[in-house]
Amino acid sequence: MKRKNKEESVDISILEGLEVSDNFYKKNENRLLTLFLKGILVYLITAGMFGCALTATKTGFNEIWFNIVVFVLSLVISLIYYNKKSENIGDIVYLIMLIFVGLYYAPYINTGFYTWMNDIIGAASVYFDLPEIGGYLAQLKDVQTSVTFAACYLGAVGVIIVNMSLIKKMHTLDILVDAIIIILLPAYLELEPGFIYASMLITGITFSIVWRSTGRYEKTDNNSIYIKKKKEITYTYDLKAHLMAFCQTGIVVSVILILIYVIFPVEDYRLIRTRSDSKEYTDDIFETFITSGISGFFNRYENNGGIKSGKLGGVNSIRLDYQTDLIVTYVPYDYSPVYLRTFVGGTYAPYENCWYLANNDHLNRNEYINIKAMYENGDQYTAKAKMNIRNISAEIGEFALYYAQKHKSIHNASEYEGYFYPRFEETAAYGENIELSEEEKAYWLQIPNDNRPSIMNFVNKLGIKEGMDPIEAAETIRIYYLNYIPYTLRPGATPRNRDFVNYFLDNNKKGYCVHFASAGVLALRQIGIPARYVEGYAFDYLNVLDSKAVEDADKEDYYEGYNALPESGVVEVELSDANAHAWIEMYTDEYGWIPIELTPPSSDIDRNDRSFFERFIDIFSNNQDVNSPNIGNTPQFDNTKLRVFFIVVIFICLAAVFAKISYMVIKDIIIYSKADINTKLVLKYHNYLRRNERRFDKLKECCNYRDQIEYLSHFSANASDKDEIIAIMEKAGFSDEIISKAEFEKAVKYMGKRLKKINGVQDEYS
Amino acid sequence: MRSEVITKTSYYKWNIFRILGYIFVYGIFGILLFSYIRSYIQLLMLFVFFALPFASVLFLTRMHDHVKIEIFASDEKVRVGDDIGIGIIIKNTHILTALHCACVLKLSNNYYGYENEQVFSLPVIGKTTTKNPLLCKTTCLGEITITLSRYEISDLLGFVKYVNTSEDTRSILVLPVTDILDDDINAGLMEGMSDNEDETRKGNEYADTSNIREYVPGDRIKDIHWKLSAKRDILLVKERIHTSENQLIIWVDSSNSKKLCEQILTLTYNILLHSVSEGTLAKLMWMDYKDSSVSQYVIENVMDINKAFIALYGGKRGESINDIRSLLLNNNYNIKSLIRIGYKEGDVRAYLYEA
Repeated sequence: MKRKNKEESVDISILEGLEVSDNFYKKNENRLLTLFLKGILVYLITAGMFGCALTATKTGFNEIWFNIVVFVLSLVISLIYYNKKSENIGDIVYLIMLIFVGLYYAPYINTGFYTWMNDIIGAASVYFDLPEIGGYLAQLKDVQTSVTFAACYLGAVGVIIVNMSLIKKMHTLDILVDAIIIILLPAYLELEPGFIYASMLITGITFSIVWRSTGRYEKTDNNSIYIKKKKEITYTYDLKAHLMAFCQTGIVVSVILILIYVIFPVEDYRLIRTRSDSKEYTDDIFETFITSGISGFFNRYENNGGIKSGKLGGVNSIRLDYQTDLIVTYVPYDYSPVYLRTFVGGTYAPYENCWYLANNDHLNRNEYINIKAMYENGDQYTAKAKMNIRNISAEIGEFALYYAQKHKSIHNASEYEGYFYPRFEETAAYGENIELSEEEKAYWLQIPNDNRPSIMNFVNKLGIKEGMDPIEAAETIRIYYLNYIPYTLRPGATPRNRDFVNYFLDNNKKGYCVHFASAGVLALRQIGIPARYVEGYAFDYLNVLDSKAVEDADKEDYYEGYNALPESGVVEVELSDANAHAWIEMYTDEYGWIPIELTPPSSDIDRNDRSFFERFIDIFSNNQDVNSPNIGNTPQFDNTKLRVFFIVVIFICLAAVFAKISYMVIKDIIIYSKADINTKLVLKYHNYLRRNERRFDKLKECCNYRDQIEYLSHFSANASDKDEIIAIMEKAGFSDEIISKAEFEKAVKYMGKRLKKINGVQDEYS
Repeated sequence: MRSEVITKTSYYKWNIFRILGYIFVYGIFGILLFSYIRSYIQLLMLFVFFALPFASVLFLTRMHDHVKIEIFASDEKVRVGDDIGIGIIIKNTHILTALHCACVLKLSNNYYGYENEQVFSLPVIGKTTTKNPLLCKTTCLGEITITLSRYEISDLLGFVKYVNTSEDTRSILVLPVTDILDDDINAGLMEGMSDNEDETRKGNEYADTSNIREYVPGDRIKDIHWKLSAKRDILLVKERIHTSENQLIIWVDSSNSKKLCEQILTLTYNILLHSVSEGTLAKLMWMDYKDSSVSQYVIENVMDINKAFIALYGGKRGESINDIRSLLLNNNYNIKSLIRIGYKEGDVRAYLYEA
């Protein structure tokens, strides 16, 4: 026999000569309730998805209306699948309604959608640290209503998509992909959705996974509860079963979500979240695309720190690996930074965005001679120091010390040891033999014509002029940078066909050391101060504090002379690409070429300063870390609410335990009060046994009144009564006779005596 | 209805492919995407979807001991073409629910040698006893044996199945439809009866008494040994041994195709019913190829017919036998004539066979 069904035509014989009756397949499910259940699932997922997206971007909308509309539409779109006819008509009506609403309320929907897009764009510009990007122009002023309208409209479209995936076949993977698509952008921009919507979405997806996993999800055209599949006859829906399964799944999901939310709230997570390398990479790509369009991809090269090429411009952001590049062994002598020079830029090439390498051979030669002579003459603020530089993983190059005799390229896994003569603030001027020739001066004052307008503008803004004291001029530049141009490792790439320095000064106005040094050099040259661009490694006293002491090294081998830090010993400082740096050298009449630091300190917040557990402990205390760098930047989690919640949970648990115990006790009391005298004695005897089972292990092995009482009599003071008690108990427990009140009291009295443990007795009865 | 529980073993069966699939999707959507984006909602998802399988398996381990599954059959015997209600009763005393319980039914009809295994997928609802009838229609004769060979309760995610192989069996006897015999057959029957049988119909003794026992409800009145009962002051009945020579002998030749066999059995059944209604003693004989012997069953009432058919269905059909006489003689049966029911001259009929 073949089953006449539009969906399938299968043999429904389960054995030759035994066929499943048509009536069996005509047993219908309660389609309305089933669709209602699926409608709730559609609502959870749709509202969860769009709610997540909207709350993540902090776009204001009326959540009550949004939820009501999405809930109603989810039910409507589910219920129109009641039968084929309602499905066909319902789909058309729903579609017409969508088109009508879309056309008639287009300004609201547009405004709401644009508002949401503007919020996303705003978030993107914050995330990518980009100048404000132009947004869409809203048509209406009532933004919140418009956003609510747009959210409802999106929800109306969303329920169709979700419903299509869920109603006939439980395409969980589709739902997962849909959800990822909707929340991907906010998630990428590190915008966290509201917890409630996230929970709704996760719960909905979990339900659909469970539904899918059990394989009971198919909708049949004839509402049949049972269908014949290839290998089995299976039920399609069972409302009670599905409801109960939903409840138990929902409880699991809720408990996990609440636990995570309580133990590890989103605010805590924000503090410890770091970006993955792969995301950093795609960030660069997105950022290049946003700032430069497709052409930006042709003016781009990789950079992961360790600058020493003089090549600028194409670097979108600096990614540091924090691996040790160099290990420097020396004796710290003051608080000022120590520089190891690898590249000196002489001529700047506009639009090529690079510094051409200057002749490095005789740089600072005379300064070295002068300061060495001063040391040898015994001048007060002079010293002779030795430094050992080991190249661990830095590229081959010179790591030139200032005021050193000679330099040498250091290969990987090799080292160099050289002497140098530190210059202190207090060191006297050594102006002899360091004057620049006119030729040299001209060389170090070169400014490309393409940069002049921007540099002039910058100089005028700074108020520095020709003839100004070089130190004062450099300080003016440094302070300006500090106040107006933030430091960032992710300034974005210089657009193609734009000059690096001009773009930095005129447009981007943010950058890292390379930007500050390059612009600073040209600005100083503009006012007639010879200056040059330098790259290499730099470390300061903070790095020294993190270093380890070399205990077996003799300080005198490394250092002689004046030391501003007299207590310091020989230390090993590890330098990573985080120490790679660009700075400038400036010519002064008193000291010749001196290194100058123009780069302002990083404005990035160190988010890893406190461990998760420290923050976790904070949750349960009132102490708010006033030193936390995040105060004022990140909204603090309301600890009071959390504590109240936690206390409520504990209270509920205790109340539940108390209720359970009370119930058991009251139940026992009621049973006892209603029992006859025999039963009362038996109940009391059970209590007596229960009390003593914990103390006397062997008691469990005694199976009847006689054995139990005899065993326990060995620990009792009135053991002589045991036979009488056994007789009373057997009478109460096994006979139809009613025990007398005297017998009852005697037995109770016997059981009331405390038993004492006697060493060895237990073993004897084992 | 017969029921028996033979063995009981239980074990867990892991769905490795599903687990690997889950891990794969978890890895792709969860860990890889999380390691890339590192959003809080992903973190929540990771935790939930990490804990969910454990919870799912834990639920199953907690509940399966509280589940009792057995099969039921609404009728012990039915007529061919009737609806029968076989089904599964699932009793779950635990609060947890499983959405998928595969009950594996082994169905067989020994007479025709039919066997099949049918899986019936049902939910196990918390704190509920559900009766799940599988409404069926019988289309051929025989004794249908339905055995719940095992049931497999899956956890919510389908990662593990709790398999229980306790067997529960029900049997349903499918009897032929009853029909009014036409005159020709009736006449044939008359022909096949021996003189002694005629005597029997008139109320004379037709068999030897083998035993006297106390009357039990259900015994025929005519079997009461009145004289002895009067002496002993309790009702006593005679148990008889029938002598084949004095009975209507019916030989069933069910060696043909299933369709013809069905007709032969139907005709046999109706003839037997007729003979019972007439008060005629009959003996049903057939060749059972299960042990290559001649089987026989004395029919005194309708219950005997059913018993005979149970025995007949329990046997095995074989080739048609032309020389029944030799067969009977070889088996020490001294039968002069019998009614043979079988396929003859293009039709199924009952005809006199002179042995």
